[in-house]
Amino acid sequence: MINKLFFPVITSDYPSIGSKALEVKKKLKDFFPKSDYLRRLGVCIFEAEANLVIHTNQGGSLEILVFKDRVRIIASDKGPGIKDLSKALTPGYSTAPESARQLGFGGGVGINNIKRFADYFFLTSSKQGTTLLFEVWNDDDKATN
Amino acid sequence: MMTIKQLTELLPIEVLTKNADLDTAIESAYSSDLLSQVLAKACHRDVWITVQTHATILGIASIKQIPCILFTEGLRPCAEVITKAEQESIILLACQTTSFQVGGEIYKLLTKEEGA
Repeated sequence: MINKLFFPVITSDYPSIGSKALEVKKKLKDFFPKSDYLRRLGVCIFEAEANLVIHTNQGGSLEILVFKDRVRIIASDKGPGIKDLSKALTPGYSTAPESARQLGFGGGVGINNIKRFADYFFLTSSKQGTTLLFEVWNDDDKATN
Repeated sequence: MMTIKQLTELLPIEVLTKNADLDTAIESAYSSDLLSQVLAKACHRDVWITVQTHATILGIASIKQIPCILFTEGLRPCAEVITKAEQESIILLACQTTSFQVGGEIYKLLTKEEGA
């Protein structure tokens, strides 16, 4: 492992959404100079960060593990959990509150963006909390715009 | 392809950020107010057309390397957002028309440019 980063994420702190994704992107630009890879990584971390802010009771955390050829992200929280995982993975389905929707969040696309741009995706959830683990690999097979 | 300077000369669009590099070239535009949709679909050669004016849009633009955001319907961000955009070299534009109208105008200009 090259580097490890840890960020606490505060619930309902909408103005902070994206700050961790940008910090990771800035810190890793020397490790991963390809701008397309950093865009893909940034999109995935932004979405994970937004989910922690919008959907948790007590916030959560983002753990970023940097390897030579990939970055592994573990987003975890202590509840309330996702009631229906299959619905949560359906594009367009969202349980985001009106306050988030007014800002342009809650389109029901976020988690699918992570699935789309990440190379490995694992999601588990119960009332005790949710853990989302995903990896973004530094290869040329996936491209964002 | 056209520069942002050309765009602002051909359409009633105001530049909100100072010291903006108006020679920045754009190839297309993407219109959406849903942030995740922009993260998924907008391109780093697009003008992003939106009515969202809060600071998070700058994070989205930075992550996607979108050079320019165009606010429609007379909406404009607060001074803090404009200053932050200037620091991050993101060009902010504003117009009075709807996203549909200005998107159509930009489409016409860019496709005319392609056909020229």
